[in-house]
Formats: sequence, structure tokens, C-alpha cells
Amino acid sequence: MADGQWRGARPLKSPGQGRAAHKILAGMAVLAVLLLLSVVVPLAAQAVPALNAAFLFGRAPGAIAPEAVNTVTMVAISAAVSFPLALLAGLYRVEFARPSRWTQAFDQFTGTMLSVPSIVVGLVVVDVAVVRWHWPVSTLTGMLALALMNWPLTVALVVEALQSVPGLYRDGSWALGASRWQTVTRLILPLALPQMIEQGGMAVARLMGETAVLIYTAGVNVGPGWALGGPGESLAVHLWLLRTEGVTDLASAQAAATGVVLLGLVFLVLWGSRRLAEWLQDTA
Amino acid sequence: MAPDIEVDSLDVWYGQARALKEVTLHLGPGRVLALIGPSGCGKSTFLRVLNRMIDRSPQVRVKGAVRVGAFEVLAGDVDVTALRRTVGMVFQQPNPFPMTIFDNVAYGPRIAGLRQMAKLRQTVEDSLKKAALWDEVRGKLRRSAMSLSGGQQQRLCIARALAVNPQVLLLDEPTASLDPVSTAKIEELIVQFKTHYTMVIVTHNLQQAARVSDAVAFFEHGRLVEMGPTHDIFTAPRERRTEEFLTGRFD
Amino acid sequence: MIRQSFHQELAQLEQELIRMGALVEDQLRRAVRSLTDRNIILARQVIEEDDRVDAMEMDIERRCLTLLALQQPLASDLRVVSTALKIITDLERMADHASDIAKVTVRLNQEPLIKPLVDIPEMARIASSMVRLALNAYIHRSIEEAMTMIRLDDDVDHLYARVFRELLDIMRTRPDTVAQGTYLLFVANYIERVADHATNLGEWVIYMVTGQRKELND
Repeated sequence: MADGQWRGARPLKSPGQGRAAHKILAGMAVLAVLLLLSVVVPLAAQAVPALNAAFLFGRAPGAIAPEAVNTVTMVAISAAVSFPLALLAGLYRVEFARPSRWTQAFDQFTGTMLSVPSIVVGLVVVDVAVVRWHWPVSTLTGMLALALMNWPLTVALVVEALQSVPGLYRDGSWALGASRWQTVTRLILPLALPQMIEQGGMAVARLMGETAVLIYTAGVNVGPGWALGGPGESLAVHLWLLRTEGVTDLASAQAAATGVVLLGLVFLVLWGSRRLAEWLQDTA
Repeated sequence: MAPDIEVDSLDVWYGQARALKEVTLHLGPGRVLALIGPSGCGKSTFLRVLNRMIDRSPQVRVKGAVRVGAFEVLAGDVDVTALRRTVGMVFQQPNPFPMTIFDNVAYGPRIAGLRQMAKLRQTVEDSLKKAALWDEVRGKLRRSAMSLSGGQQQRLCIARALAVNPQVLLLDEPTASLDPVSTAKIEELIVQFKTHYTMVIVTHNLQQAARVSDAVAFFEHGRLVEMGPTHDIFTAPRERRTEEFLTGRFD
Repeated sequence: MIRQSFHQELAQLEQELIRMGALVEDQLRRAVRSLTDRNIILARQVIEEDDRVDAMEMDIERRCLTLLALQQPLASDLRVVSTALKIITDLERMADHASDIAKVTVRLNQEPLIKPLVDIPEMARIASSMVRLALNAYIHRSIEEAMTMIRLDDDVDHLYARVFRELLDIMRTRPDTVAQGTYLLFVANYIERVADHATNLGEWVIYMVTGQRKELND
């Protein structure tokens, strides 16, 4: 081929009908980012007066360190308890159970649970744990409520992650003489785990922002130190409280600052789970 | 030593639907049997009975006797794990696991409890050589199996099946998704494997069946219409339905 | 019926084959008649027509190879195509023999015959009817017709033996007849060969129908 023949070549333009759709979609994406910024930027601006070390880390009344600790521990422990249980349930459902009326009932039950409003879960927990078992309104009760709320979602995401592993892989493994258990532990779980962790991160982030269910169960104040049986107000609840009942001049700034901290935690969880998932995927 | 396969009055139902009807046949050791017939005629079902992969299918019921070498395949007390190690399978879609080439081939031996790295390495190399893939992947064993071409992936799957020392190979349309050159390589492997392994291949490509098999079984509506030496079936079948199928006068 | 266009092509192939067979049979009859009638013009026609037969053979062969390569026929379709390939070879050889007989006519020119031709025309009649019967058997896919046809070969063989003895006797007593006698022996031999090729046709028809290859000509 002669040199310089490419000079006559030109890139093909995409046909007109594709471009219009492209513009609309790009516009919508820009709009979404703008909307997010329109929430975050004023919030941060509003929070500036309250954002200082004393407010964030101090021990004086009004500082939010105890709320932050409560939020993190309640969410972490409830997730740590519900995830393994959900994993077992999901594994059984996808990898071991044969399709039957029971598995149908299981799917229906988790589906229904998914759409139960969190406040109803809160009421049930209050009714059972607080009223009948005489548990205090505390961190522990909050954890129970969060775990219960989170459970169906976790099961659903575990099931979805397992089902996203192609059946062809299972066929390949079984045809080599592997048992179901071997297939799950050596092949399926390593493949499904990254997706579980990434989506699990989203579920945890959602728990951090949960308020309604925690107002009844974990309470709206904090104890002198962290205790399982002590009151366990979370950041989100604190924020709600400040906005509705705040009386000091700084109330709205403090509420905004609480929001910024909560947002930061949520981003941290999302980012961390994503990185962990990516790392697992690369090493698999 | 490659075993023979003997099937006696095999019936298979999926729920109320009967997928196989009184199939009886015998395949000698080290022979290649091609299963042909229209879609849904039961040939894949037949293949999946031989290594009990049929167990996966919901509501499946079987009747009759199937013997592969010393295995009474349908007996309640058969060791399915040992059976599946003896009767390897290659699928229509190349299905290497999303892991390294090495780990793919080592998967079976590891499942079987082999831990010594030196032995694993040897097994992997031997299997890849048998599958005629070694020259292409030597020095790249730590790469992902997904980086291979479709034809290479399928030969990797063959190597993976060979790594557990099977005596029988079941091939379910192994070249259905491959280009002609990759197809020719797989066919060449099958021809080379003759006498070392007893093989059963399901194929929709009649020329392929003619090229690689010693015997041909024609299935229709779950029945074995006719089985015979490949030459006889393709030049002068005994049954009218086989004739109509082979000459495209089939409705 | 799925492979309709392919089966149309197969039917066309059979038509061509039958046309070639009819032409060869005609060639044979005319060659022998040119000899009995001492008609050199007719003989020359037969010799020229041989090119047509050759062209037909090439055409049918090309059709067969195309079908084999492009359609990869199986079972009875495969047998039809492979039988056609074999049959045209036999037909072409028969036409060659007809042409050879016509050449004898030309060679003898108007030289008086050493004996009246009785058995040779009879042999030719049987041989050409064998060709016709073979073609009918082919068209009807009939084993019975093919078998009946093949049995006629014995009659040709008997006649050939008789002609052979007679001509030998004449040549032994009258040495001046050796040249013509040898030509006539050739003619008888050509006709006998034609009958053998016709027998082959019958065997191919049987193979085409049953898939069994039987040697009936010994």
C-alpha cells in the first residue's frame, strides 16, 4: 500500500438520529450531577460555622462524636450479623434447594419483606423487644431493628449475585466430579463475592441514613459512653432532631454539619466496598 | 483402557413429557458414536444420562439400565463423583472458568485432592499437550482463560476434562460456536483420541459426524430409530426416517 | 421437503443422464445398421456424434462434482450422484465401441462380405435393448428390471462364442478372408463389451436402490 494513502480517509460521522438521543441522555446526566451538587454545596456552606474540632470530636454536649460512634457500631454489627445469615440462606436457596413450592414461598416472603416500610419493622421491634422482652431503648435494640430491616435486602442481593454466575460454570464443575459444596466454595462464591460486597456496601450506606426505625428503638439521646444497653442515637436521627427541635442559634449549622459527616461516612462506605470488590475481582 | 457403553431400555421423563423411549444400544471400547437427529429428539438427554448430569434437570425420572465400563450408571449407590471423573464432558459453549489457564486445568485434580504443586504442574502440562493447546499457552499459564480465543477456550475445556484422567468423553455439540479452523482442530483431536477414549458426540453437523465417528445413532422423538457403522448410515441407511433426515426430505 | 432446490438439481442430473443413455443406445443401433446396410455416410455420422457423447459425459461429471462439493449429499442422494458418475463412464465406453464399429464400416468400404451377417445384428439388438432396459431400471429404480436385463448378457455371450467359432472356421479354410474376418471379430467383441458395460449399468442401478454392491458379471 502506498504511503500516505490514509490521507484521503476520513472518520465516519455517526448518523443523525443517534446524535439527538445522545444529546438528551448527556443532558440528563449533567442535570443529575447538578441536582446532587445543588444539595451538597449549600449543605456544606451552611455547615461551615459548626464544622470545627470541638463539634466533631469534642466531649462537650452538642458534639456529634458519640452519634458517629453509635452509627458506625450499630450499622457495622447489625450488618456483620445479618450478612452471614443472609449468605447462608441465599446459598441454600440458589445452590442447594431444588425448585419447589418452598423455594417459591421463600422468594415471595423475601420479596414482600423488601417492600415493608422500615417504620413498620421498627414498630414490630418495639412491640416485641421493648414491650415484651423489656429490652431498653438502646444500641442493642437499634441493631436488632437494623438487622431485621436489612435482612431481606441482603438475602436478595446475595441471591442476585449467585444467580449472576452463569450456570455453565456449575455444569463445568459438576462434570469434573465436584460436589455442590466444592463447586460453591471453590468456584461460585469467589466469583459472586465482589458483587455481594459492592451491593452490600450500598445496603450498609442505606442503613446509615435510616431514621424512622431507630427513633423508637435506639432512642434520641446519647449516654456518657458507648454501651450496648445504653441509648444509641445515630447521626441521622440526631440530624432529624436538630432540624425539628433545635433551639440554639447554631442548630441549623449543626444539622448541616451532621449531614456533611453522614454524607462523608456514606461515601467512605461506598468507596471502600467498591475498592474491596475490585481488589477481590482482580485477585480471583 | 477405554470402557464400553451398554444401554438397555432407557426411558427418561421430564415431568409428564417423555424424552427418551426404550433406547437400547451398545458401543464398543474406544469407539466414537455420533448422535444425530432433529432438535429436541433426545440426543442431548441421552448424553447427559451417561454421566448423570441429567440429575440437575427438575422432575426428571429415568428407567432402564446404563452401564459404562464397571459403572452401573443408574444404580442408586453409584459413586457419581467417580463416575463423572471417568466420564468427562465438553459443552456446546466453551465454559472455561474465569480464572487462570493453569487453575482451569488444575481445577479437577485439586477437587480430587491433589495438592502437590509439582504433580499439578505435570498434570496441567500433560493435559494441555493432549488437547494440542500447550504450544499456544506455554509460558502464559498465569493469564486469564478468558483471554483465549473461542477455539482455544474449547480446547482448554477439553484439557480440563482430560486432567482428571477420564476414560470416556461426552461432547455436546463441541464446535457449534466455533469457526471452521477451530472446528477442524477439535475434530482432529477427536480422531486422535480414538481407541484411547470411548466418545459420544452430539452434533448437528452431519459432515462432522461422518468425519469423526465410527458409529452413528439417529434419534427422533426420543426413540433410537437406527444405529450402525458410520459408512453404512451415510451411504445406505436401513430406515426410511433416517434416509429422509439425511437427504433433507424431513418435515 | 427441505432441500428443494438441491433435489431439483438432482432430478435434472437424472434427466441429463437418461438423455445421454438414449443417445448412446441410438449410436449403437446406427453403428451396427451402418455395417449391415454398408452405409458409410451413416457410419461417419456415428463417428462424429461421439464428440457429443463425450461432451455430455463431461457436463454430467461437472454437475456431479459440483453437487458433491456444494451439497454434500448423503444416503440415497449420495448414491444417486456417485452412481451417475460411474454410469457415465460406462456409457462413454459404449459410445466409443459404437464409434469403433462405425469405423469398421468405413474401413470395409464396399468390399463384399465373407458371410451374411445374422448373429452380429442379433447380438447388437440384444445389447442395445440391454442399454434401454438398464435405463428403464434406472428411471423406475427397479432391482427386478436390472436383474432381468443382466441375465440377457448370457445370450450375448453365447452368440459371441458362436460368431467367434464361425469366423475362425471361415478364416482357417479361406486365408483371403482373414483381414475382413478379423474386423468382424472385432465388431463382435465390441458388442460383447457393450453388453458387459450394460451389465455394469444394471449393477449400479442395484447399488443405487439398495446400497449393496454386487458383482453379477463374471
